[in-house]
Amino acid sequence: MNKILSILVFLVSFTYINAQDITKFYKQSIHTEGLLYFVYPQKMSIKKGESSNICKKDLSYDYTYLDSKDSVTILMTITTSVPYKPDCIEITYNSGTQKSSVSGNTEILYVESQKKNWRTRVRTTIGYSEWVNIYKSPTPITVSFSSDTDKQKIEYMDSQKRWKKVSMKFIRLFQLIDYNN
Amino acid sequence: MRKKMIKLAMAGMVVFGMSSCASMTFTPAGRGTLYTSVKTDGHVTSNSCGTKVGTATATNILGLVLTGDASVETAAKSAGIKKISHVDRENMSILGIYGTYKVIVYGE
Repeated sequence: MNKILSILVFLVSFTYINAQDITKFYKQSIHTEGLLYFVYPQKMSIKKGESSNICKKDLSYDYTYLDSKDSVTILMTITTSVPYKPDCIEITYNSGTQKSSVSGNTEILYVESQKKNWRTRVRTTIGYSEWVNIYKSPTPITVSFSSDTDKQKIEYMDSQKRWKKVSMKFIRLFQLIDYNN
Repeated sequence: MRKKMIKLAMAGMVVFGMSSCASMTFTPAGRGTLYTSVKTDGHVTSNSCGTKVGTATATNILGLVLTGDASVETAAKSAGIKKISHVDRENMSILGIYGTYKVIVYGE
């Protein structure tokens, strides 16, 4: 019985052996203006502190990048216990010797009710070079949303272990983008 | 030895039988008993190829719990797409225990 279980576990883990395999991490499409890259939705944990009071689920985010343009579109889903409409986003990362940040305005796509919670879908854009610099950070980045209306700041940050896995995938993706340019 | 063979055969039957439990749907390439990971075509419109991409996913656990929203509308809404150019689909299933069905919508 133990041998059968071992074989089954091996078969299941076989699909996850190669941590550097990013084929299920992104999608590349041919577009009239170049190559379109889409990073499937990823999760980022709620940062411990005040954010955990109103955030109910991890941040879900995905990226879309067209290589002929410099900007990267980030779409994010925030799930909170009360309606929350962020005005501004800030991504703080470690650029080697100092802390750096990228900030921008957020565009609200929609707010919807989900069971007892509220789900807000937002969009923002950053430059391609900023996107690359973010994922070179050796320590986890912090994504912060602030709202003038709700007077509340919410933050998300991965654990070091998860950040290492995620950033390695992005670094491989950037290599792929560079080779295609 | 005989007992071991019987146990192995029973395990194989369980895996084969459960292979359809968490399968979301047949793909044009069929359905893998042990593992399925297939990207297939969806719909194409006459709209120009967009730069926005949205996804929506439904999940199946053992064929007992099916949840999620894998509609084209939800995928388009998630990216703010107002004109759909084309739709792709992705099926994934592991040993009939866990499966996902994903819709990917492109547009402007």
